[in-house]
Amino acid sequence: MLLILCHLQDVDAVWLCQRLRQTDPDRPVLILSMDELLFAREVRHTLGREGNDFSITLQNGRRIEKDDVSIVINRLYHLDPVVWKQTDPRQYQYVSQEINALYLSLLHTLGADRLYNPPTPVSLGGRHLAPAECQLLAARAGLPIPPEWPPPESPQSVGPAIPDARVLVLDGQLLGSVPPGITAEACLTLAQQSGANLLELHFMRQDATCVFVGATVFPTFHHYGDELIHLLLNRTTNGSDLGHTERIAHPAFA
Amino acid sequence: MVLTWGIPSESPIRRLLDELDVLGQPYVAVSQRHFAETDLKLTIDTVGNLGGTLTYQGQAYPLTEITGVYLRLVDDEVLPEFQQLSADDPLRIHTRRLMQHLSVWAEWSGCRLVNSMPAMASNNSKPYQAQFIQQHGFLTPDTLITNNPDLVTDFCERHKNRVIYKSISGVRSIVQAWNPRTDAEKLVLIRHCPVQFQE
Repeated sequence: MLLILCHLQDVDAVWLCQRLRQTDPDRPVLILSMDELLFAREVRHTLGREGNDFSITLQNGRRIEKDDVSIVINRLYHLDPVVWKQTDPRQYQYVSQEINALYLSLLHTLGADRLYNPPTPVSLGGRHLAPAECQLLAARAGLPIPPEWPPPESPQSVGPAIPDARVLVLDGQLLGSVPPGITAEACLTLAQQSGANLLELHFMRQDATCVFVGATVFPTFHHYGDELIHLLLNRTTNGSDLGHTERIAHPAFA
Repeated sequence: MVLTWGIPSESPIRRLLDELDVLGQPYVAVSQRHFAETDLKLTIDTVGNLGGTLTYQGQAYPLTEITGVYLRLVDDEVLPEFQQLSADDPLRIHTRRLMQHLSVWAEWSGCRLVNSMPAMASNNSKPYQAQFIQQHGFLTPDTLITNNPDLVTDFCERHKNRVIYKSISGVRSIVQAWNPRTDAEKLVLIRHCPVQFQE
């Protein structure tokens, strides 16, 4: 099963789910929102001599076992137990920490080879790099960055809400058109150095060329269309084959 | 030069500074409580080498002269001086930016670092950290985290009621021994928030 974890407003996660199902109706694809996880009828996470395991039973009765999951595309950045906001703020904060600590560990049992955007203890949303870190690594990778560094920290001032150009690096492969003045090699190097197997790089036009302004582990999937869908299906044909150099192509695209 | 950053009166920092005094090694000990008198200006060159200046209580220290760092940071929110600041006080923004710059510089400058911030963050989830402990060959106790009281009852019976329960995250880390007589009736409460049980 290919499992997409996301927040309710995540239209790109819904787009990805629909396109994967349309392209390969035989492939089990499940999309789960934060709320379905928070209100799960049962969650069971075990660690110990017999291995590390989990199962989640949703309110509709559907049960997800660890071994059912071949790939997770993680688009969660924080599980917010909003109903607890009605209580003492300290209780709400405590439950929030507990739930996020649980899902960090639970997802970690899958191993990095089954997780696109594996959660980290800093953020359930994976390898979050501050804009200053992103641009620092970009400079080291050979990408041009704006002259003002470190950039202001407020999200509005990091760059335009909609970048002039973007590319996606998925598991060492580049998708999208590389903007002028940028090399594919530098983009791949940045993704590698940042430790993310799924990273969207954003660029802003500056005169005739482009400069790197930031990156996100929550890509706008729909920009990459069929190319992304085919790549993901190929990557996941044999389940947990992420990270291996030899991959078996999906029959539809072989 | 060695940089320490935290609460200098805490014994681990105090002992390190005492030892540096004995060795005659230069250091700067930044107190996290003195955030108003601390600034960190960062620069990079064209190939991404980090530089800049730490200013602390009026004294400037080139970052290139710092070769070793010991971080022992606490959450800003617990600092009395920080708690007194209003939500829109510019010093809050200054302090957040200071920590962000410290994080960037400590992680990427290449100097020797004890207590990297991302590494310390694994304390936020005990079972997550336990998986790393397992990977390094240590045994960890059988653990169940659930919101289902029936699973807990089975787990406790399997371990002959020699079980403890505690938080999953790093907060309220109070370990309680399971008491089948008094705790069983409270089990229904875990429906609202999963709890961690260990043999």
